[in-house]
Amino acid sequence: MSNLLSISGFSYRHPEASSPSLRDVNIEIEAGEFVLLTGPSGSGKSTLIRAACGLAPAFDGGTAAGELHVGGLSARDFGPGEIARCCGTVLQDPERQVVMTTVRAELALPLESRGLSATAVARTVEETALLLGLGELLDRNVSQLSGGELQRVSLGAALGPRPPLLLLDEPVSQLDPVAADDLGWLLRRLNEELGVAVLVAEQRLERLLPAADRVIALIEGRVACDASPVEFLEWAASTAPALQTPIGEMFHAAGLPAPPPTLKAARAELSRRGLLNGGTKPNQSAEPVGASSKSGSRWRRSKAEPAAIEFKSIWDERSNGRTILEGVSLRVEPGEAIAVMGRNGAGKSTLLAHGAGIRKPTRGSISSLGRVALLLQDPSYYLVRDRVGDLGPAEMLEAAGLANLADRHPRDLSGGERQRLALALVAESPDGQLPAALLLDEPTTGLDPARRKALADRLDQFRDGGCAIIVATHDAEFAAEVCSRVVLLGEGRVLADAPVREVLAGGWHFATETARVLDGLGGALLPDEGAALLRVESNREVRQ
Amino acid sequence: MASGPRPNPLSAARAAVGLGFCAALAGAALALDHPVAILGVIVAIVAVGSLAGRARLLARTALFSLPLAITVGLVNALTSRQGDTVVARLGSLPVIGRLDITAESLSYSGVLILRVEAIVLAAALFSACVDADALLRLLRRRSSRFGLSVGLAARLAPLLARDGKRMAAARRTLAPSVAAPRSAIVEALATGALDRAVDTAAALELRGLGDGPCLAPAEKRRWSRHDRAMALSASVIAILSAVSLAAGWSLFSVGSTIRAADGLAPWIVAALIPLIAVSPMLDRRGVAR
Repeated sequence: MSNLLSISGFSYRHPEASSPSLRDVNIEIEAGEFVLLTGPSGSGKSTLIRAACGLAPAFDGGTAAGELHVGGLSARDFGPGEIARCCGTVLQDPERQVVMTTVRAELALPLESRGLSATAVARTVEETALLLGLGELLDRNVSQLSGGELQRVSLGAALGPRPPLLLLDEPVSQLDPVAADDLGWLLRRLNEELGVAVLVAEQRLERLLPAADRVIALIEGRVACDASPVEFLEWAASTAPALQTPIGEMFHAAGLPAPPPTLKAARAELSRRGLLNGGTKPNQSAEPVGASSKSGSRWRRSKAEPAAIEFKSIWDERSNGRTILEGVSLRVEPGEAIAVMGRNGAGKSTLLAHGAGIRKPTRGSISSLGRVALLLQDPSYYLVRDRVGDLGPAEMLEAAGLANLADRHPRDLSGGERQRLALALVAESPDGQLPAALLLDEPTTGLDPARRKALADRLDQFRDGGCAIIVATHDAEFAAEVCSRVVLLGEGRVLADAPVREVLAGGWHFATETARVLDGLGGALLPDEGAALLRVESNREVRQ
Repeated sequence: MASGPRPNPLSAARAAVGLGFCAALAGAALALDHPVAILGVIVAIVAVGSLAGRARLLARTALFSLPLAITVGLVNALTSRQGDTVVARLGSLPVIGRLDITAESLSYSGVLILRVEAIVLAAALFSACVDADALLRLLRRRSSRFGLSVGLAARLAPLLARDGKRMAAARRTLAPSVAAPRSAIVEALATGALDRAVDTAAALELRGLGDGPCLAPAEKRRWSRHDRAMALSASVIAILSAVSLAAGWSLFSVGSTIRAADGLAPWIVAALIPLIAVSPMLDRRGVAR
């Protein structure tokens, strides 16, 4: 069999599920191909990756039908351990995949398991570490690594035995923009230089689309599109708008044909049409054409009045000598929404923990107008009962629109429902009073565009009620949509604290895709703003 | 392990030697009967742990294991038939018979409590300071599936500890009216342990562990000064325990009355064990990479 991955008429149903997660899937992946697998939440992407590496149904249970071969091994006859000889797998949550104590041991484990000599193990560990920039981390304890570092370690462990096929499930969902870009380049390099075939399940395609040979879209467990990136973008614009990239959305809204998949080509296309020559840079324009008016706070008051929440020069110094936060000062008014951005390990989550009172600063103080609510990244940590109805009073569930879920087990809810439930638990109170401030840690991880929009709408309702919002996020699009200000943290210090347009329209890593393709033109951050700008430029071009 | 120990000779020694050292301390706690000698073993473990920067972890472990140790002691006091000096008569039960508590059985319960604490602390010292990865490698050479099971168990504990911490943090962010009781967190952790175990087993399978016979290459490195010193220390502790047992230097037995070694012997044993255990820990040359 020449195909590395051959899936034919494959269907899979999770245990006790009422309908199959995968239906009659047919996919062939050849050596050296780079394939993106996309689709809305619950469309079956992760299930397909787990089936391809042998975990479903061997570990997950359930029933499967059809044929699935990896490197010529049938998933019917071989388990994940044997299939792992043909493919390396990186699953979504890096914390659940790291099994050894040190990075060196983690990288060595799959090599030793295959019986390599001590010399070969040592050489390969060293080479893998060099390839992935893990040299400094080799002797570190895995419990001391950030999410991004753990993701790279998992990738290294998967790559070490030099598999011809690499399977990745949403590998950039926990990474900061810089690390996500780095991972995209790395996968491209592995594919182009080492000839490793790559299958990546991802909801946000923009960073990986330039490297892809094909894009496969799954909708309700079926392959809805299997085409080149350009054809996929055309298909998405006409058939599945929710799967468009921000640039595709902008081109579509501006009445332009589907864009080429790379930023460079998209920019060249706009230049060719004469649409990138006018306009103003972000610092020259307060508000771009078509921008929704997003004032800082709808409850703006003078500085003399108390803020909804204020961090006054707070320090977090650990007993091991590390300083996580260095004199961070931040004032958020009632009804104001700000985004805290920065690299993995910059101190964003720690800042929120201080705001919610989970940690106490070693120096400095925090004051607030009232209750401060914190929604942690993984909502399941709040859902510790067997029944949704036991988690809170019925009025609270009613207010959050979740009363119909009262008899379900929290584990059986979708990701979006779990997050809504956790948000209701932390933010709603039986008397209907909103918290003075609501802090959210990476709330968009794993959410598809429809669920992100629903969350943004919910946060707008909190803002309208006078609640201050602080969102720690890597998601520049979400920050641009919800927030009026961005605080950029680096090494525990505030590097920038400025209006959202000033930070996100002029940058490269910390920028929205729209701003990246328009190079900050007119301060446009979101696809509809970019489209409005392009329409103005287009009209100007016609008049000339 | 939440974070690694401070560089120290026990961690720098090879895993098999580290295992032997901790086993020698646990063995001493089993072989010695005199409470003073067992206290000496506890002092030795705490001193070694302190030099490795893990004193706080050992203190927490001692605290958490105290209920278990006291339970063992209580059961002994209630069920032991030895001793003539009755201090309390608690009636009788149909199968067990009379529940008389004697001063002798209470004394031996104290010894048992100390012994349980010493063994738990030796295990904690091992898990805190000895390279679990290297030990797993050793086991995988014997059996791939055994290695998989041990790897699973070793990884599961810190994962559940992390989950518990995060659930507790999440609980602290909730208003009292919706915050679940602590028991709900314990229950959620217990029921979630199976999911975690499946995740971890899946990750180990994906790394190829358990795929056919284990062929991990044997470690070939010369014995370092720390290997030799820790192995010597472990051997001396084992020999001293055996000799003490044979010669009755730490005798403490309960019959109708208590028979205990008299004179300085148990005190000398109690003083020697910490000295022998700590001495290799003082050579810090080459412990940090």
